[in-house]
Amino acid sequence: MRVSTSYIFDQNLTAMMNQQTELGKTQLQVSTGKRILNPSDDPSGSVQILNLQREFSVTEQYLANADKAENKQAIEEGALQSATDLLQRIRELAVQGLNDTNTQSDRTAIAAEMTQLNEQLLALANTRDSNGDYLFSGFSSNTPPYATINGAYQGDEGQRNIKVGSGVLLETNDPGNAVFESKHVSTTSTKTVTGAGSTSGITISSSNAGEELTAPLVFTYNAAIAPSGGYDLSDGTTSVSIPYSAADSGLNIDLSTLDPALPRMTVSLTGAPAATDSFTIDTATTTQSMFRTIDQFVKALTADQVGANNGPNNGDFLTNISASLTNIVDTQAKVGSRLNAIDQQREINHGLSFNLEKTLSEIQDLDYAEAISRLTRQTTSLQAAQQSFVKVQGLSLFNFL
Amino acid sequence: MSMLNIGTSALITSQGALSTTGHNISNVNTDGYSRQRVEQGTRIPNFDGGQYFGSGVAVSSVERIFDTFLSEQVRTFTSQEQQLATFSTFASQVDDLLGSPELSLSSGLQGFFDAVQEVADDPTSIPARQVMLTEADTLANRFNTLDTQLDSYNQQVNLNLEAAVKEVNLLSKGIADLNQVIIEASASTTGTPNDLLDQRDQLINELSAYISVSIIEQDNGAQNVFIGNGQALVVGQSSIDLSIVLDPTDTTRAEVGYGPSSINVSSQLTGGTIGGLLSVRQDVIDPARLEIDALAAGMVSTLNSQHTVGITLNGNAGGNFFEPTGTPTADAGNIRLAIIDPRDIAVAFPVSTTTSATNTGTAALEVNAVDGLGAGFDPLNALSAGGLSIAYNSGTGAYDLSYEGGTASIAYDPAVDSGKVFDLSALGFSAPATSSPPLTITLSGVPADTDSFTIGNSVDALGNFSAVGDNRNALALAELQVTKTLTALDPATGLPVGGPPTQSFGDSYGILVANVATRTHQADVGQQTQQGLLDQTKLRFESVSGVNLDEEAASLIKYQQAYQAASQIITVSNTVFNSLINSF
Repeated sequence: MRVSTSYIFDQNLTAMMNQQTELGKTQLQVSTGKRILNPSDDPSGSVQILNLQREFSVTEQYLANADKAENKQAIEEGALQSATDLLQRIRELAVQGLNDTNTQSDRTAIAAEMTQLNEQLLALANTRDSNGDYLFSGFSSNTPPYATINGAYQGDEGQRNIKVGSGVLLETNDPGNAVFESKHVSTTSTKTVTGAGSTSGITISSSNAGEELTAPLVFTYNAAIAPSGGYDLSDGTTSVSIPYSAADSGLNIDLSTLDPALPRMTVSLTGAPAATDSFTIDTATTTQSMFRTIDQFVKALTADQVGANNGPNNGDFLTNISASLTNIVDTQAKVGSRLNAIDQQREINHGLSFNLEKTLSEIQDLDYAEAISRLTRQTTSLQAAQQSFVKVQGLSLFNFL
Repeated sequence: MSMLNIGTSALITSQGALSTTGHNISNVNTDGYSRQRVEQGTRIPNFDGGQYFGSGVAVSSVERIFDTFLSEQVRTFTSQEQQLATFSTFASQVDDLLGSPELSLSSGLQGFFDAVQEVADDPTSIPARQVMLTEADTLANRFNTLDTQLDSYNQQVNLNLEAAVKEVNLLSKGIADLNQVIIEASASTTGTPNDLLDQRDQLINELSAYISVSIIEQDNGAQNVFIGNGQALVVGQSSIDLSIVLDPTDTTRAEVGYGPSSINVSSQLTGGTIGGLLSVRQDVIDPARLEIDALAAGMVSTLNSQHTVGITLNGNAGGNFFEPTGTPTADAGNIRLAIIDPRDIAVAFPVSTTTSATNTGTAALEVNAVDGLGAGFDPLNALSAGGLSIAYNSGTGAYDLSYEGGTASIAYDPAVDSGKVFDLSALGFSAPATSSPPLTITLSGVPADTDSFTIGNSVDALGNFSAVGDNRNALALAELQVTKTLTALDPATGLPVGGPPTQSFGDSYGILVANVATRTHQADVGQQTQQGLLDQTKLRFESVSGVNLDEEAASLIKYQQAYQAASQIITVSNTVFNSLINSF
């Protein structure tokens, strides 16, 4: 085939330009380290990259969220740990305060320390986080949960969730009323019927467990009990008889020794009973803050209303403080399990983010070995094209005319 | 005498051949030039003495070496290649734009939703809220920039169309003029005006780079040029102008008009720069603008409807997050942030739950979603006065709900229903209630008889709002990143196809990028293929018509030798004559 001189010239030139373009592209790939420079280089790959980058970035955000959640939980755990320590000391003091050998001045001293500790406890309940948000007031971050020791809970029930994984929401706070308020048991005895000339009385000298009674205990005087009268005791299912006369005044009876089904409660019977006398022992259960519970105990201590003879609710005090402690420890356990969950989720997210990065790198990163060898090949072929162009263009019959 | 004549004819013929070779050599770099060849023939012989004596040589014609079929192929491939090259140039600009990390909506969306999560983490933090506003502003700006860029591509298409139309008019005028000259030149002689034909073919070639043409040769030597569906561009000695007309429905779009009345013929034109411009606008720029506008509009309405459900840090109703919301409707060009004060971001839910202090069971109630789509929804009064109370009745095994004085109930078996989601807005409450609470709740745990919850407005009747740490609406906003809220667009109409939403914001952008990238890639590959075809055809065409200098050098030698030999004929004739004359 004959060839056209100018066209061969043009074509050689175009071929060299194309090779230069290719070389330039390879060079850009090598210098950026990216295989895909424009989406059109690999349309499906570039969409995969977009999706993977989104996934990766979302996972990174989950990791950042997990750090924040952990931080919040750590602050809460610290506050709860301090509260536990304080409460344990308060319980020690309470046990000490209930001791009969105490003088009133001892009790006043104990009461003073307990008040101090109670103030500290209240301050813990009003802990703020690094943002200045109250930790224990639910969603009402700007409202202190407890203004005063006897004040009501001012926050709400809100529990803030933080997203630490796809579809994984973790609570990061506990509302104060769930942490610092617990079941408050108070056991009271009342004389419901007083017969003619009756001087009888009943006091709870120790309610060992401060147990919540499932049904009220009813004592009814029954003159028929041998040898000289006594009380019929019934809690609705179990009935026993307690022999008692005025001569026995001051008798301490542990009810559980009469029948194991009865509560472990020691009552002290006093005075001369008369016919139709009746007593009821019952527990009232309410929910109140531990600050108030402690304060009530402090007041009882200061007023000398605790101890063997005048402490109707000695057991209840300890029970209630223990219940508060249990409540805090339970919350601590919740916080601990959340911290665990955060750790586990973080492991998952780290694994995910590693895999995503790996896949992303496989799709978008350049295979340097391949690219460099391509670069070398392209350089060589461009050089060859340039050299042969010069040689071929030098060939002309006119040189010999 | 005849010898001198023969010598002279040979001299003249060789001179003609030499000058044609010279013409070839001098036009070696002339575009569109076809090599010429002198066809020689013997002259009419003399009859003398019963014999025919040859009377020398004469130029029978000067031929243009030209293949009409190859020339037509070159034109066709030029049109196709040029169309794809133009398409590819514009499409790769859009491709670059959508793929660039600085402008990509993908990273804009990511930045924004990351910031939303940061606000969800710390709802009372003003810096976190400020970052969210900044990111939202950046996102809106990215939309605006993309829109401006796509608009500028549109304008470039308009400008290029205008330039192309001007060029086409010049070329068709040139072809018509050449037709005129060729008709005149051909009429007066048997020879062909080779260089004029070359010039006309060159103009037609140049024309085919702008638009696909078809050619019909006339008997008088003129060539008529047609475009599109048979619109004549050149008829004989006259040409018909194309013009630019503006689309009456969208004056920012230039279309190609034909003839004195400027009829819009855009839809019928293919090939060349004009075909490329029209198709890239239709297949890449328009769909990209539609997609981005739909994404912007979808984002404005989705984010706004979630945001307006919430309560701001100051206890006010959450307003619109993005603007505009009415007329004009939101699109990528006008989307902007509606909020300036970071405290105005509505991060809290408008309702709060209270668990009764006397509950003894483990039941819990959580509000998942507030449906703010009802007409005139006011987050400050999300629930009617009195709120909603829910109490468990172990006798019926159901929660009894009381709202606006009416009642309804939800069967709840703790063994199987714990963690189940209930849509309260679908419940019918007995009279006098006239509506249902716009809430979706999750019930969990084991309730005891009479265990109860109340749900009330977060902002009380006096306007007091304390739940500033409530992040539930921020979580709902953040969830919109992965929620499928958009439906695909029908490529033909540009309107959303029916059915449930199938795309998240990110999906929608990814699909757009993929579409543009695929089209660009196709055009690139197609252009390379056409370029290859064009190169091969040109090579064949040039191998017929192109000038080869070595060949011409050889011809030069050949005709020079012929000329020298012819001179010798004259010399010999002279010598013969001299010998004769000297004999006298």
